[in-house]
Amino acid sequence: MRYLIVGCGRVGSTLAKLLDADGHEVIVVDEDPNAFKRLGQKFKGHVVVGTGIDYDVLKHAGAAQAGGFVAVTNGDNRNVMAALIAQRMFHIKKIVARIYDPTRGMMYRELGIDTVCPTTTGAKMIRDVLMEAPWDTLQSFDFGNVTSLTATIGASDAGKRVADFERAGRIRIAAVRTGKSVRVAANDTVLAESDEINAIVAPEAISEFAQMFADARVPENVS
Amino acid sequence: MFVLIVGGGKVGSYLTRALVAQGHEVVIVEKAERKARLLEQLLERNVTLVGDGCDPLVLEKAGLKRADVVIADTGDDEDNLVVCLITKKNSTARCIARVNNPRNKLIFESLDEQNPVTVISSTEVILDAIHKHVTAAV
Repeated sequence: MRYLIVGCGRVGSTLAKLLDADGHEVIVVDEDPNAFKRLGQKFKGHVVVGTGIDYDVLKHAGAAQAGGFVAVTNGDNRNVMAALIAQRMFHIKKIVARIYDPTRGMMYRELGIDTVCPTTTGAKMIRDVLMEAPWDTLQSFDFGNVTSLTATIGASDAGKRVADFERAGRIRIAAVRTGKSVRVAANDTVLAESDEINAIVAPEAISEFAQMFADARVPENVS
Repeated sequence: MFVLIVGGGKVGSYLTRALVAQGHEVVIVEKAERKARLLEQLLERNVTLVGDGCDPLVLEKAGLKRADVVIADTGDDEDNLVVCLITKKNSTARCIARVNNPRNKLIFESLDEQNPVTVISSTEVILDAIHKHVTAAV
C-alpha cells in the first residue's frame, strides 16, 4: 500500500519509519528539506519538498495512487486543508488528520475526515499515570466527552452483578472479558475475580468509577 | 448589511473603509492586537475584535449568526478555508474567500454546492489581465 504523509516532524517521521519497516511504500512531504533528517539512514521511502496544501505538490508526490493519507504538520488548519485536497481532488480512501483543537476536530469528522486529537488523548494518559488509575484509557468518543475504560474486578467485588456497577446516564458496562472469552454485558451477568470489564463513563463519573475499583488498584512499578 | 471580515491586513482595512462609507455595519476579526489597534486608529472607529478568526467561539462572538456576508481575507489559504468551514456550519451568511493559490479554488467551491463560496484569486485576476493584454496585442 502507498501512504502519503504530509509533515515530517516527530510524529510524521516516526509514522513514516513504522510504515516503511512494515514494507509499505511511504512518501513524506515537508516544506523544510532539513526535516527529512529525522527519517534516518534506513528509510527506504521517498521524500518530496513542498507544501502539502498544493495540488501540484501532492500530485507530484503520487497522491493519485495513494491508499492512505496522513496530515501531521504543526498547523491544524493546514492539516484539514491538506486532508480536504486528498479527499476531494485525489479521492484517497483513508485520510487521517491530526487536529489539536478538540472542538474543531469534531467538526472535521463530519466532513468524512478521520481526526486524531493528541490533546485529549495525551491529557487523559497523563491523568491516568498521575492518579495511578486502576484502568487504561481506550479510544474515547467525541473528544473527551465520554471515555471508554477497562478495569479488573478485584477479590472484594467477585460475585457482584454488572448492574451493581452501573449508574444511569453516567456509567454503563459494555463488555466483560473472562480469560480469553469476551461477551457483551447483561444486567445480571455475575462477575468473577480478575474478570475485565469495559465501561463507558461520563466525565463527571470518573472519580466515582475510580472509587469503585480503588481496591483493585494495580501495585506500582508494573512496568 | 452586516459584514464580518476575518483578517485585518491591507485588503481588509480598505474593504472596511469602503463598506463603512457605503453605510454597512462591519466587524473585523484580527489576531494581532497591535494591528487591530492601528486599524481602529486609521478607521477612527471601534470595529475590530482581537482573536483567532479560525476559532468558532471567536466568530460567534463577532456576530457570525447574524452576519449577512462573511469575508475570509487572511493571507493564508488554509486559514481562509477554516473560516469558510465554520461559516458554512454555523450560519447562512454568504461566504467570500480570498485564495492565493488558484489551484485551491476547487476546494473552496466544493464546501457547499448549493450555495457556493465566492472565491477570489488575485493571482488569477492578474493572469487574466495579462492574458487579455497579450491577446489584444496580437
